[in-house]
Amino acid sequence: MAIRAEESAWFDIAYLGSGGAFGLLDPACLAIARSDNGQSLEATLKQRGFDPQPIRARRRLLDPSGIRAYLELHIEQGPTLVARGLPAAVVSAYAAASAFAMHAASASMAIRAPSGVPTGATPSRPRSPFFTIWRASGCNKKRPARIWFLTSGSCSPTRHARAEQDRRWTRFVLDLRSLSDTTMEVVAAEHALRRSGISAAYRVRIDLGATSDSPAAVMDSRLRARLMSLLDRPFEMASGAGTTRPCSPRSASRTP
Amino acid sequence: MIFVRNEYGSHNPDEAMSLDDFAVGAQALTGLLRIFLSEPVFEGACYDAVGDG
Repeated sequence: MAIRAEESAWFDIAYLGSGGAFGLLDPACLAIARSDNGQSLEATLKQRGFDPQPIRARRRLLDPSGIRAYLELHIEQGPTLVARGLPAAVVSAYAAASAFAMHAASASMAIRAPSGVPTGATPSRPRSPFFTIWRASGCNKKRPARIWFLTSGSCSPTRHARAEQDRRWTRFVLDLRSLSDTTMEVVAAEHALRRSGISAAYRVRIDLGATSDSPAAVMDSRLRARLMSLLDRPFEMASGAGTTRPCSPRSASRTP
Repeated sequence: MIFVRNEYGSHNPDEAMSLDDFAVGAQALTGLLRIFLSEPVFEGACYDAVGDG
């Protein structure tokens, strides 16, 4: 089998490739716009010579009963293996993920960050001022007993459906990861609650968009045990547990 | 999934993976495929474990 677009860099859809292969996508996803040029998934598929009809009909292109396991070799997207001096690791689980897409605007021409760092004009900034706002609000200091991670994955000027002449909107994405579904729910609820306080404190208006969610997935214990036995220096780690770096517009433009 | 060491993150013009590290991961992967052929414990699907970790 060959799939792609499992990450949501181009379309805000979790596991687009495998979800499409197994007929699991909501057909409404065909209308979702590509992040860089606004073209819908349906139009993009047609342009590239693919038929969107199986997605519309929720039709399987692959039968899972004929597949024993899915194995993948993948570069680590974070610094853990480099820091530990290890060449490879077995992945124990995929962290659950929620990407909160928001639009925010101030009454002035640019969003102001509390530190005075300008935004809007610097879309490739890896850590946006909005991340600072959320961090300063104390959102990531709660419930230390559970591990979770919050990353600002995007912060860029954008056109917005509610655009007004005197407001300049910024698209802003928070990426939340955890191995615990309960933690995901608690943090997402707190995130929604804090929006009003942040809006008032920083005099910005924030429109919350839909989230794209995927649950945590624990890898098969038999596969993990066998793979660990095959490594000279066995090491296990979770995927997406805060070590995935945000995809900047600069680097995304280089991805095919 | 097997992770292979990679410097500077993914989707990054500076990302870097050594072929020696890739070989370590690839050897584990091919080793597992050999186990598939020899161990009956792996008969049947292995993709049903999803839950709150």
